[in-house]
Amino acid sequence: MPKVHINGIEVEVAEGTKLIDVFLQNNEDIAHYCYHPGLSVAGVCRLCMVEIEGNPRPQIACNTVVQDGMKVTNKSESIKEGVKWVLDFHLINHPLDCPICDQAGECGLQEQYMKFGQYDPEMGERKVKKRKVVDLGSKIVLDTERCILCSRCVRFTDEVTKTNELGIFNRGDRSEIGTVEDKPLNNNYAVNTVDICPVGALTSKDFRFQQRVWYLDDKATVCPGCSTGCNVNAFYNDKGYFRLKPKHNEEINSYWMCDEGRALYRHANKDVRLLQAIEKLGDEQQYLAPGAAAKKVSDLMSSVNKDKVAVVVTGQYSNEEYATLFNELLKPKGISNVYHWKNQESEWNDFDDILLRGDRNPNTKGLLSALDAANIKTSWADLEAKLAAGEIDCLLVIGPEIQEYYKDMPEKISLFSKARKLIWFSANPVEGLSADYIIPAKTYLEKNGTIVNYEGREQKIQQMKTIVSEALTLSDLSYLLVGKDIPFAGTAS
Amino acid sequence: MSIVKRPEIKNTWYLPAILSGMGITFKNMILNLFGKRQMLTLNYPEEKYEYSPRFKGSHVLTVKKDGAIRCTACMLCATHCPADCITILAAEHEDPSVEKFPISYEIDTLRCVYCGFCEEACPVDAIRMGPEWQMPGINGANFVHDIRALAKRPNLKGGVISVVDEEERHKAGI
Amino acid sequence: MLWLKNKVHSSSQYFEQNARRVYLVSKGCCSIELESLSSSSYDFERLGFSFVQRPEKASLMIVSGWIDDAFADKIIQDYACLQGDKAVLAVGACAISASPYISNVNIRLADLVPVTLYVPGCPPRPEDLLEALLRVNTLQKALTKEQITYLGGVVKSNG
Repeated sequence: MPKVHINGIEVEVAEGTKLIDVFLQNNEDIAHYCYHPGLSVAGVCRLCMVEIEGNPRPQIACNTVVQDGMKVTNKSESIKEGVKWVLDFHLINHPLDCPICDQAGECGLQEQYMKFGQYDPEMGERKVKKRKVVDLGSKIVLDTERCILCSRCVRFTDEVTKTNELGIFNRGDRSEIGTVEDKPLNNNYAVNTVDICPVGALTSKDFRFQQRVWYLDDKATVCPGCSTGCNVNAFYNDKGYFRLKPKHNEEINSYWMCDEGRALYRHANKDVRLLQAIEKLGDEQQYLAPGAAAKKVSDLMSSVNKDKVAVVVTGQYSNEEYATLFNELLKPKGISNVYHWKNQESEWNDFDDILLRGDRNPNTKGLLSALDAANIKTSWADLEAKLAAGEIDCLLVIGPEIQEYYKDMPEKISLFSKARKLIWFSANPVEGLSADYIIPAKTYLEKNGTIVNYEGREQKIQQMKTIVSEALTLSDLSYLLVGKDIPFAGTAS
Repeated sequence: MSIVKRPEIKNTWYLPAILSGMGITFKNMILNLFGKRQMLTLNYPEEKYEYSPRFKGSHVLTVKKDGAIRCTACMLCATHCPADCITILAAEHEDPSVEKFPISYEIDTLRCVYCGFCEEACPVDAIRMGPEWQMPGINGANFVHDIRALAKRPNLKGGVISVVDEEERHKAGI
Repeated sequence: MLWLKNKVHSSSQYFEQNARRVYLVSKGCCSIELESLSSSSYDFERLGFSFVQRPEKASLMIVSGWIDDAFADKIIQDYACLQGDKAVLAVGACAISASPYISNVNIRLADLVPVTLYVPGCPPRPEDLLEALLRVNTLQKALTKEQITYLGGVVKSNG
């Protein structure tokens, strides 16, 4: 294993590692734009220069493989001068857009300028003006003037999505990034280019101008869009949730996430949530607190014979919630009519070869193992038969949190309405639903738990900002439905 | 050797001292009546104080030469404000050379401490502290000033034009 | 001597309209500006006001400074002792909305007593205070007692 000295520290690294990886792994500051660990090496930005002992010229660290006994430094005066001048070259034609650019606060140029630069620009020529606000489809806006031509986005569309949509056009200082004739950038992984762009050249239409990034906090969780379970960071502040960005996890999603999962913070914001429980009395609706509604449902369920009670579950809740549901509610009451609502089961084994899988539930495996542990072997046809025969008096539906992937919702609603009393548990209002009780639920961003992905890997979701504190998690609902108090734990789970 | 001073005759009487004191008072009063000396008092509603050009009074949002609001909704003023009184909502402008502008800019003047940090923070001279002083009001009066009140109130006579001009900068090639 | 007549005439006008005795419950930087009202530069005695040292003798209370629990008790007790047409002025950002020290105190004056007039500023210039004092009586006459108590209850801002 070769040994290297970087900035005076001696480290031992694996064979074939690049120098820049050694720097980044040891938390040493090194300026870099075109290098991305998930993409191939380009070596176009010339910022990651280092001085290697015995080598007369500075070398770039991203394309130099480690040799045993190398002594490398990037803190010498000549390297600092060199990096400052390369940064000046990057800034030659860069427009003065910081007040209107979304990337302010997380911009590569701003950070490198504060770390390595802090000088007055010596550019005396007129800047080259290029096209701004170029519409690249429904997700991305391109600003060719801000681009520093690091080519990360071009390499991304070449290597990761293999769709080759982006390229560099023209030559010299007229070079610009773009698609052929401004064709829209519409593949399912397009917004990852916004994440990897170090400056504000590519911006996401969804997040554009919504909030300044220094007002946002972020925490790690897992995307609930499909059974892959990509790790994401969710960004939020007092006003709600603003975006999701992928978090690096080498085994599951590398550095990327799909675009369909990026929209999965909107259903948590207050303007689209259920804030109170709704009870249907004849033709009118009455609003109650969720606890009061749960008590009424609990009385209802106790008054009905246990064979006439059915529960429909979806695979979108955490393992702890399923455990509480089975142990506190279903087993003590002896309810065995538990049915697993599967959406589009024929597509569950689809895979688009990058990240997206056909099973659009994050915790199907968790639910299947909970059903196994409770020894429940029912099938959907049983439920349909019982509903047709009118044998179900009380039907509790633990509704899906992400409703857009349950495309057969209208048919299922009319099926479930055949029960005498229907109780629906959901975070957002359901269109076309008229149930006897609708109880508000918490979203995945507001509770702690464990979910299991398609290959059996357990991951944790974290509680961040609670938008609707009166809403219940499935565990809370189970406790209330048997008449117990919710045990105080300090956090929701 | 100690020197003992006996009180003079005129000091042992009260009246000479009283009369000389009252003489000073009446002299000042008569001088003030006939205006021979400037009185310090500001006769408030008739006379008003002249403020310096740097006085920090009510906020003014400047406009560009064509009348559009100069602010680019960069939110530096809201970040810098120590009293959290500025609320801004940004929106996309149809003209790509303008790109970002505020559709809502509110200053809550009951929270404002008139420190001037917003004026210091602004990179494009969009907000200034103007010369009008803050007016007292009853509760029903609107203390949250929006863009109309900040940029287009009648006292501003059509809007204060900003010093930072984008067109000149673009023409110079920066 | 016309201006002499004008001066005397306008003073008596002010006396009729505005004469009130003022009780100061103030601390902080605004209290220095308030005390300067009685100085010769901004003489408010020619407008009819004067400072008194006991709330039982006053009909106008001016409050400034950040409000913690002990100060809140004092304000409420002193408000109860005011005589006549009671009026309260909230002077300065601290008393109106606690905003300069929002991380440590969060009591607003409107939560404690019905406020007649707000004077924003940090601190407001003495001319602002004189303007506010001149408006208090016109306001008192224009609004009924219920209106003042009701309006004083809620501050119409985010503060």
